[in-house]
Amino acid sequence: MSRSGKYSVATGVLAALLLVGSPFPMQAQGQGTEAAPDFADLEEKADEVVKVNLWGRSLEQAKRLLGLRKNLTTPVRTFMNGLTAVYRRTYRFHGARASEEDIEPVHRKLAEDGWVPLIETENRATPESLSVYSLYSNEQVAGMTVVSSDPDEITVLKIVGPVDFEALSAIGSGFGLPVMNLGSTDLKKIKNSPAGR
Amino acid sequence: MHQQGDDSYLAEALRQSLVRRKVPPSFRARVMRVILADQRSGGHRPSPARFLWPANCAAGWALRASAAGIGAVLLLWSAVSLWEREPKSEAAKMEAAGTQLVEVLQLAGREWNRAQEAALSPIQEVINE
Repeated sequence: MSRSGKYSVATGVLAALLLVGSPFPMQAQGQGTEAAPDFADLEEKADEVVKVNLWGRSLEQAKRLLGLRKNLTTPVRTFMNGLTAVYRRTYRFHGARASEEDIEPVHRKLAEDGWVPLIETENRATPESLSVYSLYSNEQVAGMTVVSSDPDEITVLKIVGPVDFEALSAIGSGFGLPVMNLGSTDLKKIKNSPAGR
Repeated sequence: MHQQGDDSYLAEALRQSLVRRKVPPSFRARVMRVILADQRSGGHRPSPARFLWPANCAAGWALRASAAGIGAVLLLWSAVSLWEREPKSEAAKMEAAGTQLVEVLQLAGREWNRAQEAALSPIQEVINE
């Protein structure tokens, strides 16, 4: 993706100040299967679906395991420990391509659930789109959702919990989080370490 | 002989009791046949159970002991195999969850950076002009 202006920024919304204290549906910030971003029509059309649901025990286990790594930076560790749920939905299309009509219900659902568009970008030539939504609770960012789409793939990433965008940016640049090549030593450490560290 | 005399007395008492209770003659005859046969054999008719199940003899006890031993070994083996399997599957789940968390966070981080760049690039172009 070039920086040469192919993207037209449809909205660059910094709506935090406007939305502080505004009510929003509680299920949007929840966890569990009800809070999972599922889209039946997309699932039916897609040739391949990737689903990741991390909340409750599975998320706690993942955090404990990653928490053992020494090269985890403090902001990343804090950000990670605050997460309450993480979801991923990727819909891949090999035959029929994804269209604007396919992605529209995703944006509509997020808006209904109280998610606020922070950045929305669109490349009409490709066509590709990328949107970042955030959720606010008591003047704090309580979650973020990323929706990216191109004709071959639509991905929805939903992160519930206080979001440190600096830490997230570091993770995206390849810093802060270790490469996952867990050995038996880590697993033994987990086994021997007290719960809820 | 005293024992036999008692048996005869009891057999007669039983017969009279059956008559008094109006037990059908055919059934009364069968009962009496069994009693008399038992009396003739000296009251030592072998119990069928004694020969059907050898539990009362030494072989029976050996068989019981072997069965109990095999059962205990099987129980111990299943307990050990379950105990070993549980932590392994737990560790695999934990590792999968850790990998998935890293993947999602890295993907979200990359997309966040990409979105920021896309949002800022028109502003940068204006500044450059």
